[in-house]
Amino acid sequence: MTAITEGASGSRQRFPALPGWAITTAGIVAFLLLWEVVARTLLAGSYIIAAPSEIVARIDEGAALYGRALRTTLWAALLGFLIGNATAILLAGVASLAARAERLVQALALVVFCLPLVATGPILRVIFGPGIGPQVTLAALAVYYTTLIPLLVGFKAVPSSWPDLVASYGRGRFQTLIHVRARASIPYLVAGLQIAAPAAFLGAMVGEFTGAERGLGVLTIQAIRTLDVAGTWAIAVIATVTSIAGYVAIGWVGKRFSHGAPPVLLAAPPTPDRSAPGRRIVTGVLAVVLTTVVAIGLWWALLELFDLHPFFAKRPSDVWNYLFNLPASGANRERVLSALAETLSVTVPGYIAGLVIGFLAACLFELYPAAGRAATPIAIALRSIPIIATAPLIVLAFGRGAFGMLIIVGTLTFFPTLVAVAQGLRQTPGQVVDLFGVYRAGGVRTLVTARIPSALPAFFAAARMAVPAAVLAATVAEWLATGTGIGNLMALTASTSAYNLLWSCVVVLTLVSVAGYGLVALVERYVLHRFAPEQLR
Amino acid sequence: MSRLLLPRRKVLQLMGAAGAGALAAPRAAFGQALTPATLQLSWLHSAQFGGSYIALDRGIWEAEGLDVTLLPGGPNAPVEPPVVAGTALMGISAADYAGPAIMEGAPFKIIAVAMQKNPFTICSLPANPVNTPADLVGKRIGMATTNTPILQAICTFNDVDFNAITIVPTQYDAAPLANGEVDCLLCWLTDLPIALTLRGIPNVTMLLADYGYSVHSQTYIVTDDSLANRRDEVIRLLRGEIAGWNAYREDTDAAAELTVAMFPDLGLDLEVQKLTASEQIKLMFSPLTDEFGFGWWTDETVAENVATLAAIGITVTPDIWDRSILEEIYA
Amino acid sequence: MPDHRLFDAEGRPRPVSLPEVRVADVTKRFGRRKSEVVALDGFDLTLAPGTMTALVGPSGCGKSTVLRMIAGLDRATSGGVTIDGQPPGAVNRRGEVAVAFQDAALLPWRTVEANIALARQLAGQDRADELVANLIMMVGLAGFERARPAELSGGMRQRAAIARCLATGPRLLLLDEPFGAVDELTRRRLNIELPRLWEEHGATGLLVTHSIPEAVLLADEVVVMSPRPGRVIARIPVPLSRPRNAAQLKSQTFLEVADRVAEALGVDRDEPGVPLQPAAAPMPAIPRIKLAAGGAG
Repeated sequence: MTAITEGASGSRQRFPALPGWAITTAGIVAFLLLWEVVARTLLAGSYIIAAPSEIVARIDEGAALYGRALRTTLWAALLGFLIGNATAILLAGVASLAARAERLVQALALVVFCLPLVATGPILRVIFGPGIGPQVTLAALAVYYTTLIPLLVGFKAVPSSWPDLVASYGRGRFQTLIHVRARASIPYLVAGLQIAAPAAFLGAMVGEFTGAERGLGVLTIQAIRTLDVAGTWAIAVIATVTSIAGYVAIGWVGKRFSHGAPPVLLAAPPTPDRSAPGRRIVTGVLAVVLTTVVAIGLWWALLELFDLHPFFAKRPSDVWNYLFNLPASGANRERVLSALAETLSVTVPGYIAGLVIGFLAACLFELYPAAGRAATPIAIALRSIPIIATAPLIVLAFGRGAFGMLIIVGTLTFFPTLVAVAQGLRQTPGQVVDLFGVYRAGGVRTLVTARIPSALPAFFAAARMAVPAAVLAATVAEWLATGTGIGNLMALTASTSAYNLLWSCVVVLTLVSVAGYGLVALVERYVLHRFAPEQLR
Repeated sequence: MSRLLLPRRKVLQLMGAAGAGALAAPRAAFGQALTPATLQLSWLHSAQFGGSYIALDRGIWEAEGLDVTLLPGGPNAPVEPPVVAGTALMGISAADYAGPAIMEGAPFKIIAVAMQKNPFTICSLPANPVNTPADLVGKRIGMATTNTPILQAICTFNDVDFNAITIVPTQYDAAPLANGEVDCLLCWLTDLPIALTLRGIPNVTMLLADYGYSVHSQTYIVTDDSLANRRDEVIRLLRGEIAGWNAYREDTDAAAELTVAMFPDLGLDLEVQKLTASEQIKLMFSPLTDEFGFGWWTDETVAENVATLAAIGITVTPDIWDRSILEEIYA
Repeated sequence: MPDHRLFDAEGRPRPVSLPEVRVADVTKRFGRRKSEVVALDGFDLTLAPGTMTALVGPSGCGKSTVLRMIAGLDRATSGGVTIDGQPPGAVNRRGEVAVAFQDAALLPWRTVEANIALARQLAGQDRADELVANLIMMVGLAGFERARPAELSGGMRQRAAIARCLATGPRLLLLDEPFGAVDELTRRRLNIELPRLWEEHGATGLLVTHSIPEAVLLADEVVVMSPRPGRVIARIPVPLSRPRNAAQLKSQTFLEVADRVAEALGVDRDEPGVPLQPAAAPMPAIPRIKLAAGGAG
């Protein structure tokens, strides 16, 4: 930490006058140059990475084809974006109107968000038949959660006197929602929508894997299969640029509605619970039981509603029998759990490494603002690149074994953490920072004593939301790149029709994601209680 | 009309083969309502399914009174669920996929076999070739771990020490061979080798079917329910397929051109499609099909399939093949 | 007392009776079992029609809780609150109750005008643009109609909040430490302005404050509460004449009443609260405009 201090003050003195845009541009140019050089020297002749110049040439050459594909995928992504976010807004509204439903809504939303693509894709294709139904649905599924959670926070991020004002005229939750919460939550909604833009696009692309006639996802598969490296990267670049454009456009629109109250947290501040600890445990257990019952009920009801054949659409009872009620159940459990252990052995370290590095990087960027300015657009870009394009590169650089997987999971955890913590660090109340300035506290001291505690809720929010994301990244990488773990076990179903196994994997994986989420929430409560109790108000 | 977005007539113009449309005239002219029927393909549109495109393009199905929709597959689109669900009347599966599905309770049968020979191949570079199974010893092979039983079976059939081969889990990707990460790949003849050839990387292929790996591929599956209740449509759909594939065999280049013209949004490379088509017919047609017709099989080939599948750990019984539709068609 | 004229939905003046508020034998507990806190125990209070009552007491004595229960924002654990014999709720919906909050509670995305109009909207009344404009003039915010709260000083925000309180023509005004968050100078200024506004408007009022001078200057009666659980320990009438003015701050009566209140609280007269010296700066002249001007005149 000491070394960083010296570096920090040094860097501030060295580049005092460069405007922000110049630093950002310099960062991008340096990145592209490095890329070009690496592709043309170190990796020349390998079928892994294309140089920026080759990619530009390819995009130019296939402009008409890529244009049509982009239009198709963008349309599905846009529909999914609208439907997913409308659903999120509706759910948040319901949760706000019926406070008792909020926990259930949140828990169910998490469960649905944890469902692996490998399992949902084919079922969506059967339900929708030909067309863009699955693409739109997967895009919607990819966005609703990251909008719902900030929105729920935004609904609550109002001084208590605002709802009281509405109540003092005898009006209830609905009027409060309309006049106060809806408008107050806009900055939070915008933050959620920004994250949603790249997610919707990736969702639509992956949706095309379920069988589509056109689109960027389809072209990606074609390019990979025909060893067309420039083509693969051209599509990745188009996808990335489109995602960034969405991100920036939403940010711009959001700014117009901003009234100088930027979003503080991405997390729901835990509501104070004055009841006795024993009672709290009982309520907690009841909530878990209720969520489980509702989730199982929905699962069963949806399959019956769509009249899905039990050959591939397994019911809760099938999974129960497969895991607990058959002579082979012991072996079945062993199979699922050992694959799960293999996945977790890389997911957990990758997740933790991603969190730690993301946190440290955000702190570093706070101390060296120039580095932060240069790196932020690249961070957004890297977050938007489809994993199917980056996975081969990471695998080449770090191997097909556990380490490569660890990097993939770490990368996907790193970026959201970086963005959230960087934002959190900037939210330290101005007076607090001024106070430290008055006492001439150094950069690191201000950071450690003032800024980091303020950023803790944002960090934990990112940590919680990264749990399902990390599991998703791990299973997708296992499916597409390494052929290991529970991701591969689920993908096997395509050839073996072992749908009992698939659904059991889905259940186990969902439980693990939800449990991981709960665990992080527990750690969060403990840490905030000890180090930043004011954030628990 | 077909539900493919490109109008058939436009395709004909593109093809400069307007005469082929003549076949479409009879039934359509009477204004009879066409029965909708859906065929679920096992992968994205490509010359791999060229026979179906010919049947569609030449109005063969229309003449059969069918309005056929071709559903593409993909990396996350197994064929069996839409067939079982009734979304598709018929699907293109393979014996090693359909077998386990039936054993898992999927109520369907294999009614015809498009690929008599299995397309699984060991692909290597000429400098370090794998020409026979014995050459595998000491090699690093890139493959999807899922396919390990296939490699094991080939070793067993040909007395090769399985443990002397190093498996690298590259999944389905040609780059590791091109980059020298592995010595050979386990892949489809009509797929990665063609990609390598097209990138100017000469390669050697060894078809597993020539070394005892007898598994029917690109098989047509239909549910028991459809066999009983939509039998006539199944017959007409398959009859169109047969006609299409016979035409495909006549001129694979034309089939490749049709594929590229029908699916301009897929970025298909004409040369790749031509190569795919000409390689593929070697697997689809044999003295057996010359004698009995496209799609045929015998009790002997089924017995070989059952034995090979047993060797890779898949237990099936011969009654999952049902030849009654073919027998009606060729009667 | 001025005549008790209020305004109907069209902003026209109408004669109304002002309500009597009764808080009878109210107990309020927070939390459960071990962590239970008894905020109020057997609390009684009556607000006579057309009078302003000030509720003072140490922090946490439950004075705000009393106000919130009258406003219908909190419920009593036992006992009851009635406004002219009716429970709060039905009365609120007609816009007959208005609450001023410590932090002004202006919505930052609405202009001053729109914030004031919100009260009428919530009360289900029509927009009455002229009435809103007159209220803005009356509280000295003319020219700031289109300003957003962030552009206003703390005192201006509080004035806007008071204008909003008056916008629905309430018969009952509940002021919850309305000047707790503004600076000293502004507070003193508002302490002079508020009685005048209230006197002109006419309503039954309750002021919760921890400032003795504020309580004495604004109220007809000061009710002193004990620490938790809150009970009434003294009721001190304020015999100052109305309309109230700054000069009364220096009167003997004022000082005597303030001393009695301080004594009841067991503190010095000057604390907690404001020092009693008059402001150095002269009071700004605020136009005196009849509320009814916007309506039938």
